[in-house]
Amino acid sequence: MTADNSTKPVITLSGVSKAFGATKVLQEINLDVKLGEVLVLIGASGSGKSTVLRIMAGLETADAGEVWVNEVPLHDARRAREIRGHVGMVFQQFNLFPHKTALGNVTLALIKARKMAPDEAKRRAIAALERVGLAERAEHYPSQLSGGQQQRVAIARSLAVEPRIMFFDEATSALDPELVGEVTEVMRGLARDGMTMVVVTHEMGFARKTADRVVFMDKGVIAEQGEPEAFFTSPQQERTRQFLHRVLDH
Amino acid sequence: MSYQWLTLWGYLPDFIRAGWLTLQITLLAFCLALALGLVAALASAARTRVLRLAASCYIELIRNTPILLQIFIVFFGLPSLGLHMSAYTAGVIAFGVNVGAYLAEVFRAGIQSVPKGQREAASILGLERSQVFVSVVLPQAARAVYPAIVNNLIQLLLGTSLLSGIALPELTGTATVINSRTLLYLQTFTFTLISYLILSNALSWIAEQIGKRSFHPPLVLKQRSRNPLARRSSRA
Amino acid sequence: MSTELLMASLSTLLQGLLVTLLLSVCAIAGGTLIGLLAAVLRSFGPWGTSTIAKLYTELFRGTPILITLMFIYFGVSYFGYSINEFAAGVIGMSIYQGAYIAEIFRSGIEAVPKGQWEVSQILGLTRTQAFFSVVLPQTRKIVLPPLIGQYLSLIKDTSIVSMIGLSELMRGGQGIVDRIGKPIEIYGLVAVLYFIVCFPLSQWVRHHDRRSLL
Repeated sequence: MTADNSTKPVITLSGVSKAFGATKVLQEINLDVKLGEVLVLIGASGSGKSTVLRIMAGLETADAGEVWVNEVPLHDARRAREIRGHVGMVFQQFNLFPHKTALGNVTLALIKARKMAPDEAKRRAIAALERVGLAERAEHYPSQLSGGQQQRVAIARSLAVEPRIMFFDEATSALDPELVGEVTEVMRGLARDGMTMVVVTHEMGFARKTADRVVFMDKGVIAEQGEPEAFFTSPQQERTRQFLHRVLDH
Repeated sequence: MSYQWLTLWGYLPDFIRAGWLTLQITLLAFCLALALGLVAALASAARTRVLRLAASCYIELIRNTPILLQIFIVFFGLPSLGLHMSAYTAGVIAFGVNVGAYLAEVFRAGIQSVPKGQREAASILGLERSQVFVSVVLPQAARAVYPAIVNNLIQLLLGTSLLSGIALPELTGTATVINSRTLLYLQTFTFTLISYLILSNALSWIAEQIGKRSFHPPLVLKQRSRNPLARRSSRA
Repeated sequence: MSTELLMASLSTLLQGLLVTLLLSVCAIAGGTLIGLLAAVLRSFGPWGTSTIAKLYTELFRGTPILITLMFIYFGVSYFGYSINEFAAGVIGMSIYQGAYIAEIFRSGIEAVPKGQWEVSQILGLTRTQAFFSVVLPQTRKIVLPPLIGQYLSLIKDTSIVSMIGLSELMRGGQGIVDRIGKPIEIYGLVAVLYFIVCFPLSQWVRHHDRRSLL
């Protein structure tokens, strides 16, 4: 969970703006993420937090500004593809391949994209599944797994390609409440092991306990950011206070 | 009365022969349709405008004109351009081309139905665009389109009855001949009806078995309909 | 092809087109009524009627339209009555298309969430009231595109009635080709006429159909 301050940031956003049609979703975002840091993005729907994440992951392109991830200039259309296979993304809807077993889901990219030998891929896949606690479900299909299990397989799938950075787009929002814990537990484990993580979430507990830095986004700009303890106990901005009030005290 | 049914029973070999012919044409035409449909579906998603245009012309032309007309154009029209063919060939071509246009739409819709997130997840994992298509999109699209494909196959089977209009001795044609010979109208057409029912149900059943075995998880074709007001339900 | 020939052919074909359209309209009306009836009987009728409705749809969706037409046309004369081709066409097409339309209505009815029925019940509506005032209107959006699509099929299928002798568009074309040949030109013209009628409908359906796997 400790961030390395002396090295160059692994992610840099400068002056990033994005609009969908007439709606301005992001306005002049400047954000750095250091190696090993766990950054948590919070905010209301439409605040732009998911868009920031997706731009970092290379799923969307910014209209303006520079995006450097892992030393790949994502704003340069010719080089943007280099990021594929080097970052991991965990989606709200899991996006597991329904026609493959858990093991098949994890090995697919290893065999096809990394051109790994099937045995080697299988070994790596089992290791990844073990890391998320699902090695004994390797031969199950996604339809035979609970939501929490599916999401953990999705995490294993991303881990297997050994990414430098993992992105989590509301990874627990589609889960029944009692299944959220097993996924956040895995995420905490990754953070402990030093993974660089950018997490969009509504789980304030996770943000408070695991984040190195919390970023609050509102209407397309970064309204406030800071260390979790300070952020949650004494937010500086009025709108941050309002948001936290709505989210934390029902 | 039973004497009449017995007479018809004597024509069983003719019915079987006709049914076999019907089946042959159905399967051959369907293979052609699958090929054409796939090509047209890929062409509609192509980057070159000419391909897209060609595909949509093909699809729209076929879908907005009757199959009977298409059969006549193939059988009566093509010879005037120098292409002579048997009724059998004309049947296979006409139905292949016709059903191909419908399958093109089915394939296209099936591919589109695969959620965008699947492509995103595969892409982030490092898969190339072609790998994403073959390993992730296609298997899921195939599962989605399977019922519609089977439906089209059955419709093709039933459609072959129109080939009696170009004097092909398939089921309907044979039935008409037997009818004019025996004048046992009721019996003849009942036999024919039953033959078609047997053929279409047999094909459905085979398709269902294939569906169960080829897909993970197994694909079930016959949907039990949910009826909100089913009186036969014993639940209060 | 000389212009007089073209004009003469065109006038014959247009007369045939008129018959085609007339037949289509009648069969659409008949088929929709039968289809709605069958769907209602299947979903809400007692077990016996419901099964009959179910058998009806399965029978006519599993057999060729031509057989149905022949059954009616020859059957009537078998019993000593006479029927003209147009009437046989209307009856045959209505019964045949009714089976498909019944399925469309049935899935429309079932697509309306069960909660709508429950709410109506709690509010005190009878089942008939619930059906006509609450459920049926909600089926409209789901049912309309496939229904129009089915009507489109119907219009094209009227060409099959030519095979029992009705002088509609297809027959008209055949007649001309029998006399003067030139199948490509004449059938091409017939195709254009069908296309003009069908294309607007199919574009409408394409635009409005969310269940694009039809």
